[in-house]
Amino acid sequence: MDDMTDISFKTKGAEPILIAVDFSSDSEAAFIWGVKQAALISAPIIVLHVVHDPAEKPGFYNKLGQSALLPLEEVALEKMEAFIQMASKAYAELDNAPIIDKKFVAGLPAGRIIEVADHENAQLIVIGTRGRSGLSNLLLGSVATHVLQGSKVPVVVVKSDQPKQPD
Amino acid sequence: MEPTLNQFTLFTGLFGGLALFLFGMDIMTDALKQAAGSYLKDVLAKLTRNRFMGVGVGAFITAVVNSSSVTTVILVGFISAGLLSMAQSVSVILGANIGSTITAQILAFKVSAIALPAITVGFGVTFLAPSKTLKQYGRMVLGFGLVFYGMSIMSDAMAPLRSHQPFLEALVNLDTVIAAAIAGAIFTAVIQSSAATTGIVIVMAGQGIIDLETAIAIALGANIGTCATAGLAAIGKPREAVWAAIVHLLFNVAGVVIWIAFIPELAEFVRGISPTSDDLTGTARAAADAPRQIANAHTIFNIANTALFIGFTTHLARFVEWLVPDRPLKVEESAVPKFLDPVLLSTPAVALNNVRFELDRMGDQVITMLKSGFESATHPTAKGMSEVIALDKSVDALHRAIVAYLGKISSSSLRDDDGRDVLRLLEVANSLEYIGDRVAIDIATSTRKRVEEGGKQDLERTAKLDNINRNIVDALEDAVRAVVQHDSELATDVRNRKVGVKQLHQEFELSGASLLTGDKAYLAAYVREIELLEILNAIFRTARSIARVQLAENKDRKIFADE
Repeated sequence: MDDMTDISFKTKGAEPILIAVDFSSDSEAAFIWGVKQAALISAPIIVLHVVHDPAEKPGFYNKLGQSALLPLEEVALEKMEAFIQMASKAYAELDNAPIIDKKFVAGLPAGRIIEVADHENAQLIVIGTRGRSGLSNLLLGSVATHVLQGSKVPVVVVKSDQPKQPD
Repeated sequence: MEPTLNQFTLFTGLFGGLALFLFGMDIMTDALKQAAGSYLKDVLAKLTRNRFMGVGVGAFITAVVNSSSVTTVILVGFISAGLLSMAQSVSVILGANIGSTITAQILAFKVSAIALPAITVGFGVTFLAPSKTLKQYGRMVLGFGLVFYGMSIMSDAMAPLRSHQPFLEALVNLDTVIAAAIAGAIFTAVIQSSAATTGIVIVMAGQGIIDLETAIAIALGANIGTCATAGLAAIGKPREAVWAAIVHLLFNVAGVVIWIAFIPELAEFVRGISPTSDDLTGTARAAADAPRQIANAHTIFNIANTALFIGFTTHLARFVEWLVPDRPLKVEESAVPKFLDPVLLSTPAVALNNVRFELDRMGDQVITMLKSGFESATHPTAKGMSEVIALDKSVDALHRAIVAYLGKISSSSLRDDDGRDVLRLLEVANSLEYIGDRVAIDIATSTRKRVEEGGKQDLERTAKLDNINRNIVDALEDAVRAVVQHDSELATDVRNRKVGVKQLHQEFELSGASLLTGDKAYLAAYVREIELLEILNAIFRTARSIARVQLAENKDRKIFADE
């Protein structure tokens, strides 16, 4: 029999690493890099998804084969869970990854990522990039570029080494 | 001498007719939304990534509810409730204008002869029908009749204006198309119905008071004025909803700007394609033909605009996002309801759907309370309990908001099964609140006493309790999910867990008996453990009663489907 013991207050952890994902393969590369980095410096992880249906691909949050209207954030949560599971399956060492805090906010991605990083006192933002180039980059820009321009904390842009996937 | 104009007859006829028209429109739209609300939800939910489907959905809903403003207001509500995205709504908005052409085409029929019969039949059915659904159809017919009766009253009242010189001189001011368009926009914005504007224009042109070109210009202006309603609905809503309202405005303004230069050509074109009354001549003929010509012109410019802009939906969305910057990030407040949008109250089926999502949120908070409440009971910390009590305040606030919202839903005329749904969801909200109180009051009190009394606890017994609690947390999670997702199978599963949990209870009780004979310091902890077990038991019973609510829904459906 043991005596009752008071659990001590959790000490506030180190500043978190913020990994911004959109569930693409580029995001997967960023996610894996971010989790490994966090393990190295034992920082907590925040995985952020900005819920924003892209104008060029409306219906990103449609759940196929479902007739009931689901809030976009619910679908985003399901996508996030599937995404993390997929990434963890592909890289077994992610199994012992520290606890990951999942976060969702609505709005325009680039601005929101910077704001959340600020709000959560993130020490680092990790983000994937599609490696768009030429005209489409000029017209549409990229979230990563905007984050790079606006962020006050260091930003790591991870390029997936997979061949470019069609949109 | 010019005929004297009885102004009293004119204005009472004009405004009385307009009032009847708008009242009829309101009754019809309301009845349609009540009867088709859940259908509406399904149609919107099946929106695909395909913008052409979006246009079809927008046109269909608008044609059904007779108003593009209502469609955009519903969209704004859905977007602000987080059910649809702005990107999805753009094509629906484009389609809404096409749908509104159906109303104009119907108004162009000379159906004033059937206005009174429709009112009689509609009222009779509304008054005598045994079922609520049938009553709604009666109200639709009644509203339809009132719309046309209002139009014929306006038409009769305006007849003398044809030869009234001062009025005709005043109309000269509307001679420029831009002035006419602005007048149409302002009038539509004020009465919040482009159909009414189109109706009046059709009446005036049918009396020969205004010519086709002016009529088209006013109808074009109405397209801009109709954006006011959605604009008002978007005030104070999340950014996405504001963007959708602005897309609506930009699209309609751009369309009018393009067409306003081509009104003479459009008028000439519709004169060529619309049916003519060959037995009449001169102004009489022009007046007789005008209604259909106006409706056709309205149809042509709306379809042409949509065809023109459908290739640019992405750019339109991007442009609006650039034009109206995002609001700064707001940290979500757990005590503030997220899904209970008043705009949705007009479509009860959708509003009830959103109550489910809010209940899901409330359920999440109650589950967090239960988890950390139990954690602090078995491993007490002052901080843990104060967090639980803070969370209870948020649960209480959500409970109050949900109950108030359900009250508002039930004060509108509901279909029978929506009415029963209100009661069921009320029960779920109350049950969750009850569980929150059990944690914040009972577990907290028990824990405080436990700490005061001191003593020792057995780790193996604590692990057993923990296992029981985990089962109860699972049951609560599944019960809430069963209600939110209408999952009767899951609800049955929760109902069936009674035996398993009871067995865990018994094992726990048995393991205590032997310990009591040993260490005296254990006695105090034992009493509190049993107390905790009783509280958990009450929570488990409530979780199972939440699951029963879902099964009751299933049963109701079966009973009423058999009727």
